Amino acid sequence: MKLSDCKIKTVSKILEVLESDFDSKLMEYGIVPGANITVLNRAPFNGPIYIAIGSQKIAIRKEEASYIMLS
Amino acid sequence: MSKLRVALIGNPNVGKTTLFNRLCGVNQKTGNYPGVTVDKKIGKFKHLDFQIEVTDLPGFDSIYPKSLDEELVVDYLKNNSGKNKVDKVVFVADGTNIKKNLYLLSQIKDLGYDIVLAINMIDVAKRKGIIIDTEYLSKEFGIHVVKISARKGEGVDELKSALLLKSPNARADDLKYLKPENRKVLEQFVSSTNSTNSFKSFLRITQENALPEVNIKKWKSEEAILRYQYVRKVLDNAITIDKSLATDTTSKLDKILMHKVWGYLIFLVVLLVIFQSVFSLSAYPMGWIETGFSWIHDTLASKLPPGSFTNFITEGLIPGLEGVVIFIPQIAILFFFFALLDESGYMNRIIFLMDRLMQKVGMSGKSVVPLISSFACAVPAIMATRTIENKRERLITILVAPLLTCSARLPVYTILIGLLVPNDKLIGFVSLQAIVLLGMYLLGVITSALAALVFKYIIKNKYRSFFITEIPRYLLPNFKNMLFTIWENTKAFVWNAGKIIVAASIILYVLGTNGGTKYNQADELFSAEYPSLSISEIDTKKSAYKLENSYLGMMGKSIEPAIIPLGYDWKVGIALISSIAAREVFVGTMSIIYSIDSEEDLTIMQKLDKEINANTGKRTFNFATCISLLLFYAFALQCMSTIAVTYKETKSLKWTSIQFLYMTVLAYVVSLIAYQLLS
Repeated sequence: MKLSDCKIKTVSKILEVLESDFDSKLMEYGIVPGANITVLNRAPFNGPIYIAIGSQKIAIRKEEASYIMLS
Repeated sequence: MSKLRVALIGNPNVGKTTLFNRLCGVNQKTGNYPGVTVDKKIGKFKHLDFQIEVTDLPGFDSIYPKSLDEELVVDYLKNNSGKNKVDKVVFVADGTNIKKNLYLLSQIKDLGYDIVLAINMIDVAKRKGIIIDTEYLSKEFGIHVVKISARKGEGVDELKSALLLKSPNARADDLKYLKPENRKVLEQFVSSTNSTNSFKSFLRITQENALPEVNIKKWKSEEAILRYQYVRKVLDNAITIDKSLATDTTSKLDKILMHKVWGYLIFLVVLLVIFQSVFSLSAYPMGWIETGFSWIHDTLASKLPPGSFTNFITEGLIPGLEGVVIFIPQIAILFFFFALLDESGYMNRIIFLMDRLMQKVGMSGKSVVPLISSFACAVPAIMATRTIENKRERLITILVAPLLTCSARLPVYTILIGLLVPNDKLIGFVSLQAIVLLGMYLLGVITSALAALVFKYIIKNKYRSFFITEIPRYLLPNFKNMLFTIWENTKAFVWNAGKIIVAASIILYVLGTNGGTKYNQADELFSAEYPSLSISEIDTKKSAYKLENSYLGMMGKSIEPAIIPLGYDWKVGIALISSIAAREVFVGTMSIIYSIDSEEDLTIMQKLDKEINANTGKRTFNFATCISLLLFYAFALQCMSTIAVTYKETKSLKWTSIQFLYMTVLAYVVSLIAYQLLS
């Protein structure tokens, strides 16, 4: 499942980060295979997704989130 | 004296430039890199027996460049040789968010640089309960580590001394970013090409495809994952976060502040509070400033010997300075609120809430803050767009920001609306004037959204826009940091906009007080022609006549053919030209040109109301002309400071001209249509 389709308040493990222009950027934020992601909130009208990864919280657009595959 | 060449590098927004200014003070110069429009800043300072030359490189995030700035830095770092060879690199990291910085640091380290790590903002980190083990970091990376606060100047001397020391243990890179089987491939490539640095070879393979049989995609992601894991391990050992300072209030607050409905309602209330405060609180200090300046004006006028120099001071320089100082209260209050939002962590929630909406018109959630500042003044707004990483989103924000109603337009609107609608007309409880003013604000918002939409389709995106933002914990704002932000931004405004407003005021004064023969003969002409009038009446008539025949008046007349279709005459033309210094100059110019005598009881508005247009024989400020002028001031970029700051921030003559042209054309066409339809 893609992170962009994930329901809020669920914890999932990252399976794979698909190849893109910004994959190294995602990895710099700790979005790497094996890490646990919690979806905290979503902005309305397909806005950004608010996630917790490790001890940090970040917001990411839906487009970018669709490159992150979860188990 | 020995020489040492040092480069300052790091991610964006880690305080590199503040540190650079701390180190070099005024001993710096700005140049350009060949072929690109990025500032190259070089400074010098002395420490002990050393003359140290510092290059401040643009901030960058990744060794895989995603923007022009980044490309430049990466090229610089990859080709460090010859006479400009750098001896030491100061890697500046943000003490409050070091994890992102360490990733880049490990890459720079692998490029073989001799590094001193300067952990900046250590004071803020301490306050957030972040404890950093510098000794461990120093051992792990084999470099010197110094904790600094560039803002306060703490640790800067230690940093200077560390530059002169030999690195404790410059380990050779150990290829920890590749799995064993790929490591062998890389090692073979290194020895076959006689390379001295395996990470440089790695980059040659992944960036220049130097070894075609390698799966570049796989190597790059392997590097990212392994390096991240390594940095993760280092971080776990180096950083302790005092949990007692972190609270769960963040999650609780976020449930409300980032809520689908409440989040937006609260943001709206916050906006209203900011607007209300910017305009109502600033009224008092602005009043004091006016009183103060009129006192200075009167004192100087009475104390200095009469003559053209005194006139230049009292009528040219003092009003010019006042035109700058009068905005300081609003700017300072605005930045007080921005500092409050930023320090508390609420700003990032706004970015989150607004991103989708802003994206529809080609901007980013991060555009919201600059656009709000634009309601006070476009100059700080355009400076604030620096936080938007994506070039296109930033450019669009810069281009449309001046369309929002800034406070310099307010005095102009007030007069024109006063002429347009009577004060006593009410709709319900609200005066019609207030509704029209609100309409002007809305007009600005709608036009800027439409303009942004147009630019979204015109401007090509070279680098893909991505949006990843950290959402920090809520924190009680630090009063000192806030004061610092307010001070820095107000200073930047006074410096950027101020010098232009003052200069333009002086030029306009000179143009308005000099003229051809007609101008010079005004004195004889008037005393001969009106012997019966009192001295003050003659003076009033004479100053109007003089302005008409001054160079400024001639300019007004020369543009008259262009503005007659909009319903203006040459007098309005003069006001339009004068407004280029700053829009509110319109009011002052109008009162001179329509010879408003202070001893007369008529206010400027009553006077303008009676004015007859020489071309049409009708009232000059009739309904159609007022609407046309209102629209012209809403859209035209009559502001030298904005033009200058746009150029400074975009470094592009092309976009600066496009901004000026599209706004001027828009203003002209809309005013033309409005006047022609209404008259």
